[in-house]
Amino acid sequence: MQKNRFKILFGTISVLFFVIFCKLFYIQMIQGGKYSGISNKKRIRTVDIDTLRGTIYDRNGSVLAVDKHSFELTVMYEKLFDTHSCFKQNILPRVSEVKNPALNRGLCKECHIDKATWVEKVAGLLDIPYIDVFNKATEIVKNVENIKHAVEKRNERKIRIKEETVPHSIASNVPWEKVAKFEVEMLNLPGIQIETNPVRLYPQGDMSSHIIGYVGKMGEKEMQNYNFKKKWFDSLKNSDESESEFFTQKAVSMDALIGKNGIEKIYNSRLMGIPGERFEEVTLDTMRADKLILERPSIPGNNIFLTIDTRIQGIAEKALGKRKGSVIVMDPRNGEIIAMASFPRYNLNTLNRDFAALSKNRLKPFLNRPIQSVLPPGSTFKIITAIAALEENKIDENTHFPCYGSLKVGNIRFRCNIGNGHGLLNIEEAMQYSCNVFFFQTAIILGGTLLKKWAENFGLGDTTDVGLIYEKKGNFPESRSISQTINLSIGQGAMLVTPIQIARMIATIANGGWYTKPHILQKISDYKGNILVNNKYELTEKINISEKNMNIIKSSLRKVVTDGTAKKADLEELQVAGKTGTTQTARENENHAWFIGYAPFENPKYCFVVVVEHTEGHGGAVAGPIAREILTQIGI
Amino acid sequence: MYRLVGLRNFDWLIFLVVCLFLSTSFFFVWSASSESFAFKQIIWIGVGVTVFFVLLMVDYYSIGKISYILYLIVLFCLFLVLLFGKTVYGAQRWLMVGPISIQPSEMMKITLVLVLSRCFVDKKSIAGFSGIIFPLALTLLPMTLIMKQPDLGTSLILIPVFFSIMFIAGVKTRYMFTIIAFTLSTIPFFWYFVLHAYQKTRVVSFLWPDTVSNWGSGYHRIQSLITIGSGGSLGSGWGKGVQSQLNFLPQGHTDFIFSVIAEEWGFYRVSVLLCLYMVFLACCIGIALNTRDPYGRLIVTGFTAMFAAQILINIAMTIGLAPITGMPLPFISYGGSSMISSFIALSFIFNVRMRNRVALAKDGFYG
Repeated sequence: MQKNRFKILFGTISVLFFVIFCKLFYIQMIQGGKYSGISNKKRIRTVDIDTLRGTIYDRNGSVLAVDKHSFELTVMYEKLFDTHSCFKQNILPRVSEVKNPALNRGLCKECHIDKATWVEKVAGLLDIPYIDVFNKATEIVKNVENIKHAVEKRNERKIRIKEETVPHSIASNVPWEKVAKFEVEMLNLPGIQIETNPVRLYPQGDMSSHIIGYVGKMGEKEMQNYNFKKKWFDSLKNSDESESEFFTQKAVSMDALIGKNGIEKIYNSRLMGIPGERFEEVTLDTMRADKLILERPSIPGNNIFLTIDTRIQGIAEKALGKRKGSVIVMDPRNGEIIAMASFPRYNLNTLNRDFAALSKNRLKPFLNRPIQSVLPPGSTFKIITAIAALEENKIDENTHFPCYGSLKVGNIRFRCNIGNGHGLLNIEEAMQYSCNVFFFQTAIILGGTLLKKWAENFGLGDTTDVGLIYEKKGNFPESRSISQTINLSIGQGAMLVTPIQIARMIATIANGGWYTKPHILQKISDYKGNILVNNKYELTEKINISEKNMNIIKSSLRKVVTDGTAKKADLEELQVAGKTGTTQTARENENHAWFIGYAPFENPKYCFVVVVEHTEGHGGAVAGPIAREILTQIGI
Repeated sequence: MYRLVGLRNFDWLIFLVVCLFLSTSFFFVWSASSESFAFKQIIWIGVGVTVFFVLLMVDYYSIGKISYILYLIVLFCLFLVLLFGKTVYGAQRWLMVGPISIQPSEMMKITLVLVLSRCFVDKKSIAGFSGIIFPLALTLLPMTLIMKQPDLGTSLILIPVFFSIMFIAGVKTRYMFTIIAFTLSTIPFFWYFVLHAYQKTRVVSFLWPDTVSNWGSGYHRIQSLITIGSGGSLGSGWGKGVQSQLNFLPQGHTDFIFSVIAEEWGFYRVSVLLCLYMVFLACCIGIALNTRDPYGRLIVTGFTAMFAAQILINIAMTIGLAPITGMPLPFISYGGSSMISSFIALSFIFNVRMRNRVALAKDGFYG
């Protein structure tokens, strides 16, 4: 019986083996072709093709930032590695000496001559010392070996990494004359190629550098944010988190340039374009591309048109000179920012080199002062105090207050800007001479709450959404005491605003109360020229101010220029109306000098804000001439 | 007890076949992963062979006598694993004892064979159904524990071991069918209460490959099929398999080494490998048939069933005939535990052959 049972047992095993055998036969012999076809499909590699970043233009079509092709000399990794190993063993005292047969009789010619002679040829054609080429090769090989080592350690096995199979750049920005020489010699230099690579160029150098911003390789943090596979899975789970415009790009290669600041950063995904793809068949042994299967060309990024006028921007930057501060020139009728200058600036083309020095500079060159510098507005704020008092019917044009040079409230004495006082004056005269005491008395009647309400009506202490990144908000504090209200009424104290907020305020005055929104983006077009976004702003919202009061303010602003604090700046013929401001800082003899205004005063075409930070002079004396210079050159 | 036996009865044919497996193992572990793994594999083979020869010196009867104690110890270890085990790939299978990690489920396969054989030899009456209850309990207890780790593959191995020992011990076939019917009726219970989600998807992806996505659980199966299929009749040559060299196939050097062999060697040579496995199993059954000792016969049957089940399930899994469970290919897959346990099992088979005798006296007589 047992023998039979063993037969059954063995029979079962045999039958199962036979089934496996049949299935194996079916898979390998009958369907083998199908499966090897599938496995071959896996040998197709996709390669990204770089795309051109969009161009940034000013309002007249002058180029502010553009991608230019630059030539790059690339060498296959194998060649670099061979050279490196020769160099490491110190068998190459001089390449030409190695070629001398007397010197290297003992060396294997095949390994040590052919594999390193390209270095001398390349060095000769590039006109650089051959040791530089060696060092570059060594550097690349060391980098790649480090990566390889890390990858192998993680996987516990030998792995051929992608970097070993692709060419590496050993010289970039090769001038075209040398490129032409190379093309002639190319046949003698296998494995060495000339490739074109887009490079960001800023034709205007340091002009409007803060607005344009700059590009750079993706950092650690951006990479984490970018990891789009993760993002894709996460978005399945919780999609309530709004996706920033910055990372809506579908595919980005590891070393693509992305915007890091300014317009380059805000409109990064529009500027970047879509990289193309190339499908290549790869040989298993060498991982080299044999055959091009399909190529999807890249789509260049969108072009951005700014409202900046390069000519006026240049004038503004020149007029500001080497004084720390900002200048904004804006069209009050539609909110377009025509110039926005800031000093100190940085040169965008040499930024990589200068970065270390710039970031240590105590003047903080990376600060975009028109939108990021928060300052007390000083006397320029008196416009708001005046409007608030007039509109709330606390005073009218006939209300007179006496000024004796100072005002004592409680135990504190608040001073006017002239020690002897201005005497008895009404609102227009008070604006004209920027009398502090008049506004102190107005503020006492008005109260802090109403003052804050009107300041907020004009958008002080709130971002303007001008279309630039990292805009500061400033601060308009709640007034808690009468002395605080008095300080706030002349724009001192804890009140902090950015120049762009003041620009919005003066533009609203220039418009007779029509609210305007500053913006810097004019339009976006695709690379064919079709306009995708047209950013036009119409005046639709009006702050409710009676015409009579508006005329009082407007005429007093004109009088500031003709007879008042800005008389010395000689702005009368330029049809300017404006207001000076001098903000005391904690330090002696250091003020912020403001001059804001618009021109022509009857039908304003431009409004402007000039602020020079930490200067000795007063608003009319320091900022006024800057405004005059700009307006003279623009031509009203 | 430590009776040295001459090499007269040493089975050279099986030894030769096993050596062929081992050299195949060395080369394909190398091809599928790297040199360093291949040399580690040599160390494991060395350890395995040492264990094999050391155990050969010990009479299997004396081990058989303490089999119940061994069983209890390993069972205790299985409990410990569930409590303090080291987790690898989401499963708690290893028990750390200092620097060494032990896989008690591997040891359980061997002890179960010993203890079941013991049980059937001791039982005078296996005519009644009640005689089967105790061995059944002995099998089910470790099975549940191993399944909880979770290690479906090893726990499934215990089933053919149990049935084959029972079958050869002479249990009536209708009892066996009763047990099978009962097991089948509990499948729904297992499906809903015992199996993990990933195990379910594996089963589903095996039964209906199109319903699951290519890149999910079906990925492994399809990649393995592509790997084997692209080998064709002659294979792509050692170290030149596209699929395995480019890492499309995960676990190429452990559970899926058969796919790598099939790709690089092709159908003809893999058929030879299958034939060698058949020869190996046939020789083992021959030993069971020829031995005159019922205990030895049951042991050899149990181990042969264990080998057969491992080989069949592993290969069936790589060619898409069985759902994917973690199951190494005996003597070929990379890995210390499976190599050592295979050598222990082999050692028992050799032991029985070399100490072939008739049970004339009671057990204690030989002591």
